[in-house]
Amino acid sequence: MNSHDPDSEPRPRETDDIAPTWTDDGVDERDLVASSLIDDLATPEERRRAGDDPEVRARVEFLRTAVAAVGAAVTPPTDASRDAVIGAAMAEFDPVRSGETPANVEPIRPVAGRHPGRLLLVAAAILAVLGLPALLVLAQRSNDPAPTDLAANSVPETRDAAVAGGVGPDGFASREADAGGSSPSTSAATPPRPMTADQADPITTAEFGVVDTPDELRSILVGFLSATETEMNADVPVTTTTEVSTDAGSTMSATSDRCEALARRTAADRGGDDGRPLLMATATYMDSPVDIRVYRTPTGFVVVVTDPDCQVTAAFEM
Amino acid sequence: MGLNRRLATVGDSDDATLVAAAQGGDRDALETLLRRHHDRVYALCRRMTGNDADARDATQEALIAIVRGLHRFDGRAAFTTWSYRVATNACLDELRRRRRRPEPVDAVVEPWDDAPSFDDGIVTKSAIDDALAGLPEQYRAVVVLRDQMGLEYTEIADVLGVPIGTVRSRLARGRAALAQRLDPDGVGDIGRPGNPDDSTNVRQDTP
Repeated sequence: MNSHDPDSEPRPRETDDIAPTWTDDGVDERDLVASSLIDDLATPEERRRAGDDPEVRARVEFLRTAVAAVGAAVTPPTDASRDAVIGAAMAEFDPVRSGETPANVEPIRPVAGRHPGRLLLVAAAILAVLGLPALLVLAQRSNDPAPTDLAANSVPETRDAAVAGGVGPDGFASREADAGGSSPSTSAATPPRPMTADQADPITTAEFGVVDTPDELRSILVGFLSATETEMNADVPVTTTTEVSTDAGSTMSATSDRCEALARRTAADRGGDDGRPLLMATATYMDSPVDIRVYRTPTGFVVVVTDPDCQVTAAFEM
Repeated sequence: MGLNRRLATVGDSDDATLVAAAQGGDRDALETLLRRHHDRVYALCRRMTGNDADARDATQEALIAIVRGLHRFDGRAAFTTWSYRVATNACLDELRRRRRRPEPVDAVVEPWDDAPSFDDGIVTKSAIDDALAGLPEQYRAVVVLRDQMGLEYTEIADVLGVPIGTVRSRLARGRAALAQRLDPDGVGDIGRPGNPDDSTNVRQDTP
């Protein structure tokens, strides 16, 4: 039936209804005739039959109710909503035109009109799981009067310094070590060190496995955070590694220091704070191994995706 | 040529002209094209998804897909038909995603002033949404493409990639099911052969 070049046309989508699937041969003959009459497509034979059969005529009137209901005007969206949707689509134009979009990585953009409930779910989950540690980090940083140029820090140097100072991968071991008296100075007498780039390890890490689409990534983020929230409700201690799914496809290190500063700068450009990511995940995204970092912003979160070459392939706000 | 004059000129162009210009890199032409078709795509998605938020998401996905795929559009079909296929796919994807996430908070049900009336009261937007939601997606798509969007049978067949006979039968059955759900006391008699509400006519898909 399709007369178009299948390579140049979007293919009709297969559906996977969870509802029962009807068979196409189960239609009532009177409904077929009535429906055809409504569309003025009935054959002469069908018209003759309708004239002879009052039930067919009744079915015509009955089906017209459905036609009228579905055909009633749909209230158009607001101008702001329309502009936002068109703006998001237009934002895809220049990269497509200039060929800047990597062939195997699809840019991610914010989706207009997310359900408030979904945003609340994400926010609640992150706050429930990460809020306390993040507050501890912020409190620690707020005690340090010296500004920190995170982008300028040498990752190897600061990594070594962090290790020398007893900083663990979760960023909290050093504080525990200080408090435990490993240094002659007590934590009360010695101001906490500022969090530097090397200490920007994520509070939580995860492996997302294979992710095919931007929307699937969003769904996974929501699902991951929801699952983590469930763990917290069950009084499971905060862990630094949570396996969401294990898939051999992802080969990238979850602590790719070289990418950290770049990701943080990208997040900062979008309003993200300059602290460590709240969440760090690895995945095979659009057939490429990537790192996914989630940073806090004043109004929510920003997600930054980097490829093995430490190029930012996508960044979006939630 | 001033911007307003330029936009006015672009806005008067037909779809084929706009598509050609957009394919050549004309940003104004593309935006005009998207604005021209936005509300139609939204209406399709609104009926398919049954709520405003999902309709907006699906519409955005559809328009993005149009922008990304425009260079592959060869003009053998009308742009409208092509865009409906893209939009229908986006709606079906949105429905698939919706099944994977928690249900949103129920919207407040408000009477629909200009809705058709039945003997037992007015039809609400929610009633129509619920009735459509009760149809399998491929039946819903046929009904919406015909009765909301006004596509011909051949166009629906093209959009969905099914024979015209399938369009005809799905449309008849979908309309009958909708009418039954909207007006349970109407002409439809549950249990007769072919009645969509008769579970004996329903085949469960098996993996």
